[in-house]
Amino acid sequence: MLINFDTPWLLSGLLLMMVPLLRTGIKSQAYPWLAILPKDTLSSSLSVLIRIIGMAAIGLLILGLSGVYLKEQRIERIGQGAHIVLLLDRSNSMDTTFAGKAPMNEQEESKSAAARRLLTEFIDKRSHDLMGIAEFSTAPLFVMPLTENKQALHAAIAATATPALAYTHISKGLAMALSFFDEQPTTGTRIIVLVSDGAAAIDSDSEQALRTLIKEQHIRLYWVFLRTSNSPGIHEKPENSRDDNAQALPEKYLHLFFSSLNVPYQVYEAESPEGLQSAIDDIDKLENRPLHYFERLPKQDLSGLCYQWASLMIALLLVLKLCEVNRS
Amino acid sequence: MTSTTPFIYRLGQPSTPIYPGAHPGRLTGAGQLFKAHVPLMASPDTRRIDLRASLLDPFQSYWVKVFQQHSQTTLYMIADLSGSMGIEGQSSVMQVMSQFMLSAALSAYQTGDRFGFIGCDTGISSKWHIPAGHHWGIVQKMAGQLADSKPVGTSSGLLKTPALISSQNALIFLVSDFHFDLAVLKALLPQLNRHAVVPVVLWNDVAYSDLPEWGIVKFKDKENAVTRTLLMRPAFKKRIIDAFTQRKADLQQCFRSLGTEPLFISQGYQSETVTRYFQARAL
Repeated sequence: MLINFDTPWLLSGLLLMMVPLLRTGIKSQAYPWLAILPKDTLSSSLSVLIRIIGMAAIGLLILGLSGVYLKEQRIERIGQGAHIVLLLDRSNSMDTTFAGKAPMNEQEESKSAAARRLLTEFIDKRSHDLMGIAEFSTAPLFVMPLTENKQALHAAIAATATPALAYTHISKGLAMALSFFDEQPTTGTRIIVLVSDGAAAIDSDSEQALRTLIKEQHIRLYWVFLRTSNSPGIHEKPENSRDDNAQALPEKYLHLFFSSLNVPYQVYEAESPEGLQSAIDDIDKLENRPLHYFERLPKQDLSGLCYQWASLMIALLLVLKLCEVNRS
Repeated sequence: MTSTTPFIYRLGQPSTPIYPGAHPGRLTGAGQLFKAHVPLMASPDTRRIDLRASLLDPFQSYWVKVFQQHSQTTLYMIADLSGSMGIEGQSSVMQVMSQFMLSAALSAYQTGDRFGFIGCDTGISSKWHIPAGHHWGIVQKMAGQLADSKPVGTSSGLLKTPALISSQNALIFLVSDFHFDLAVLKALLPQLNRHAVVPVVLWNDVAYSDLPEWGIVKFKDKENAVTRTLLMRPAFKKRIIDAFTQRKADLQQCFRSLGTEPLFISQGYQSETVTRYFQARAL
């Protein structure tokens, strides 16, 4: 049933709808012999109409009182798009510019601000996608589950404008992003867009867990690496082979880990807002597949509508009452 | 209460009672109108010997003139007191009924005739019965009760009234609105055919010509509590008036086929209306 009530017991008042069948509220006048009156279709339909209007007025009032509403509904839709989880880095370094400094004036844009601006545009372009947002720093932050509500997504993106937090703990962030796909139907593509400016070593326990999860969920992975100038890149080859470890070059080892997952994986090394822009445009182009999803319509309160119609019916009855001839 | 005025009535057929009165009768006796010659032995009144007729008789017997004696008659009023008679308007039907009763009783008493009243609704009750006689006080009292009464029930008691009327021929006013099946009339009138019956049709303008032109009205039948909601408009009002005109024609046709002429009263009682009715009738 799509229709539900706040106070269903008030529906027993619907019995009052019988009242107009018994009494129409018109004062009756004595007449010697009704059988002599000629048949009149207009009059008989009017008397039926008065009863119907009276019943409708009472019925609508009772429905209004019982707080009738339409339940939340899911509408099945098919569109072009994907399930995308944006996994945003909220470490301190995101608040610096691509040059690695704190933004000094209006022209200089921090990495997080650039990411915010471009991701907002990205969200607007992807009309049928389900998107979710997760953030991570020392601990993962659950921001917004997969939704098609653009307003909520914009708000969630805008909320990252608050000052950033401490460190980068990427494995927990990934785990949270993956958890977004739990209990979601496997339709369309599932994408995790990781936007970060650095990485951290992944311990072997969580590495194993991530491997299975990513395989299970059929994830396509995009890593937008916002590289600060002079910081080690993904393909960096250290001069000293002793430095070639996960602690010293976490980005490189994260890339190696992602590449070894055997899932579609793409990394973009962006060193400027323009680079970030082209990376996002790329993802936008690549990920358009038929998508089967459910749109949710919120609960709708119908009692106001009921009251409106009831007052209309009562107004009609009032007009009819004023048309009544009173001879006495 | 307005003063009661009598009407003048006359009978279409000679009346039979032996009491002297004001109507041409069947009896011979003290009268002005020559009726026949009878032998002296049949009417031994030597003052009335007709010498000319006696001389002309080849058998030489004496012939005596006899005269028609005017006789008394009885007026009955059979009143239908069913629910439909309780219609209130500018003049309520029951008030007209009460005025008619007083007027008829006064006319009868002034003419020297007897007056009886039988009221009936679903049955006949002794409450609404005055046997024929001279009871002006009782008539006045009952007329007052009639004017104030709120009639209920149907008119099925009408068929029981002939049993209460004497077999001697009388003048009967059958007062009703006749808002019932004509078959009732066809059953009732033959039972009264030895009497002179005057059907008095009391209608009230409220039921047809005084209806509103526009608006919604709800009517409740006085007799069976059925209601009807009507949307009044000039065309529909005209159809109602036409229906009543048609009913009037039907009633006239029915009464004439049973040998009487109905008297329609719809706008208050005036004794002149009744007088004119009797004067207009061919005797």
